[in-house]
Amino acid sequence: MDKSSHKCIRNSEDLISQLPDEILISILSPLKMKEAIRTSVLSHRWEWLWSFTDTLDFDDPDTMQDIDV
Amino acid sequence: MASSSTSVVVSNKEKENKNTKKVTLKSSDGESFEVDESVAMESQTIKHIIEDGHYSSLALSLSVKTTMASSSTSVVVSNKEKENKNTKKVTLKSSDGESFEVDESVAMESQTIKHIIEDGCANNEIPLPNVTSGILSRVIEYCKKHKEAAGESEPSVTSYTSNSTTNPLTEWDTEFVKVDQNTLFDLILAANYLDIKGLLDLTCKTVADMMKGKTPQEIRETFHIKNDYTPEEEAEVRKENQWAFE
Repeated sequence: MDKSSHKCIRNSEDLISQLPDEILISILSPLKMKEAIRTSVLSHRWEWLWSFTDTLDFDDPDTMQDIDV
Repeated sequence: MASSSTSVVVSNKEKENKNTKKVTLKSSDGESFEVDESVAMESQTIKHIIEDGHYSSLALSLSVKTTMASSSTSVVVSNKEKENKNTKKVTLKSSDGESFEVDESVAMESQTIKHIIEDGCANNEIPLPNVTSGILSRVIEYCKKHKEAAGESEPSVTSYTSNSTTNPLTEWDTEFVKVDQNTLFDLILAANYLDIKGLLDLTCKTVADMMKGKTPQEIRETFHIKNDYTPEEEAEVRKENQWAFE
């Protein structure tokens, strides 16, 4: 591994949060809406990432059942 | 020549003199017949094969009525032009100085590399300062595998997200991403940098699958994410999207 890179090879490092926004958004895209929104509490970094995904399924019956209109 | 099986080998050697482009038809017993391409293309079969130009070798069974007798022939077509031209290689150099020679067509699975080559900036060796040798070798493995599969099937097979139920590489892909987190994230970054859509989709989906069904705390533990919310802040965020947490 390239040790001069900012990426750390220690197992306890939070590597995922160091990925660029667009990659984290790509990671959240396959998730169901509920699961994506739950990531908002992971840390400040994650608070709004879910809202940039473009594949949120508002027609998902599981999702729509739970929303209070 | 009585009714016997013959096989005809067609090879397309593009001659220097392009005005009288020839093709060579070679019989199974080794006799070569050089003819004008236009003459060979009297055969619709041979015409389509030549025009297609993407085959390596193709065997056909034909029933051919000759002046002698009807005989079964099998035609083996090989595109020698492909041998001469399409095995063009390019060298990729990792950040730690290791060189990897690959077929140009495989390297072009990366849009980034494709543009470098098309812009004429390749100089036969393409440095990739963002990708280590360990990751580059895996990326090349992925590209080779998917390029082979694309060659045997429609182009859509290289896209992971388009119809994964019929993707013949699903199993291979699943094994490919069974790696530690470090490697997985490095693959994501490499796929992003090299602009290889299929690999990026595959690796991102793998991480998404690691989040599915987990509580936020479990996700934090999986990825070593430090919770930097105060309890009040966290409660506020949960409240805003309460329904998602029920």
